[in-house]
Amino acid sequence: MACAVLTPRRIELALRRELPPAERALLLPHLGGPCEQCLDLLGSFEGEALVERLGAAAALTAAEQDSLFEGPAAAPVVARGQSRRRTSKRALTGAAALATSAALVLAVGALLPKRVAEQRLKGDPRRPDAELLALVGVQAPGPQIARAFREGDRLAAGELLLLRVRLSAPAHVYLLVQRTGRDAELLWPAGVAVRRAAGEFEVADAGRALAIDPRELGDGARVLLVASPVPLDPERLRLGPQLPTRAQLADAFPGCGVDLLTVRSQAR
Amino acid sequence: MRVPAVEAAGEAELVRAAASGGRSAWRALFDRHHRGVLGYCLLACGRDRERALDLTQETFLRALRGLPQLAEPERFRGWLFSIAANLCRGLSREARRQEILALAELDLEAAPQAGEAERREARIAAVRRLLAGIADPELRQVVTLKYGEPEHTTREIAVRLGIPHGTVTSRLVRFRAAVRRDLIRALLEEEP
Repeated sequence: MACAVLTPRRIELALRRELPPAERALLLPHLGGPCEQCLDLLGSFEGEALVERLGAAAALTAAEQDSLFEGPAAAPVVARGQSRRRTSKRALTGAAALATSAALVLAVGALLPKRVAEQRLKGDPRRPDAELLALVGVQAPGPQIARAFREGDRLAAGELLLLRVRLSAPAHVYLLVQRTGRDAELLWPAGVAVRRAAGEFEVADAGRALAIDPRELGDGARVLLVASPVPLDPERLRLGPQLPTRAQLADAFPGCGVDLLTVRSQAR
Repeated sequence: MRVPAVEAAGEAELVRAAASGGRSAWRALFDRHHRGVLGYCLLACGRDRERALDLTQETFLRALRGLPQLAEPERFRGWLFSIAANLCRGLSREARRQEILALAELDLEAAPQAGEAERREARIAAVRRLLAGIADPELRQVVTLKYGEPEHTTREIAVRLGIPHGTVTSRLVRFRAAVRRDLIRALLEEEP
């Protein structure tokens, strides 16, 4: 005999979060009690089928499925131990030390320069417009945001640079750092780039704001932003020692949104 | 384009073909499992669709890169979900979400990877909590041996307890049904 409270329909609706409140109020206490019929019904479900229903509730379009597939499939297979990570350890000095919370950074959103994506070049509709937004953080007397950073600003001793990225469309985001006279190095992400949604996000590693110590980079270093609709192989992110203009950077990464920031700092 | 022969192939066969660069085999694996992985990621990030899509894509990316090193192709599904679990771990700091994920993993039998002590602890804690609600001492014994420390196979449990293998598996079916019930309850309780 089937259970009158837990039915396949209610399971489906519960997984979709579409169970009417009255039915939820009925079902919830029932699930806390012993009901052999419930177990009979649930025994017929595969665990994967349950999470699959959750996934199905997200109602992916065919195009979204293809996009989800094409990202991984487009990337080449690399052997174990062949690290993609080319992050400059020196450039990241202080990253973990500055435990600035995302909430704190969000709270100072009003400080950020009002450059808007709409003012950017229009081009391929799939090409994301991308913008680097920088904040100055200090560690003492406690980790905090000091002010917004604008192109041409000079950072004082003890100040660190915190970055946010604004995207007009979903993209895989890469940050490179280029010291004067040196090839550009991939700064972030440390692992594989995930597809970021349109909007604004904080550049963070393991849940902590990524703080760049400008003294480690040297005066006049550049932070370069590349936002690509598809994942890029690290080999594609190579740039020579010549500091590019924004237009040159855009030419180097066709189809990608780009931005750059010059970091001026006091000598050590 | 889908190739019928590929769609009909066994999982291990597909994994081996994909590891050798077979794109249609990889697509078939993706088609089989992406909804499940997405569902798991949705659990992990509180139904944040965009975030879950990112995590799903990253899971498959890592899986594709790691395929040549997968020693047991027939364990692809559990391995894939353990990649998803690793990726989701950082997102689910609060205890309640950890418990939901632990329940989902119990049901999926996604074995934690080496060094995943934290996840393993969460799974063991979820089992303990579920055991507290099991009155039947025989079922408790089977579940403890299956999901406790160390883990036992169903055949090992049958030998150890001196009961038929079929009895062990049927008791575990009952236990997993209870896990699914708890998973649904946890989802309902999570709603505002």
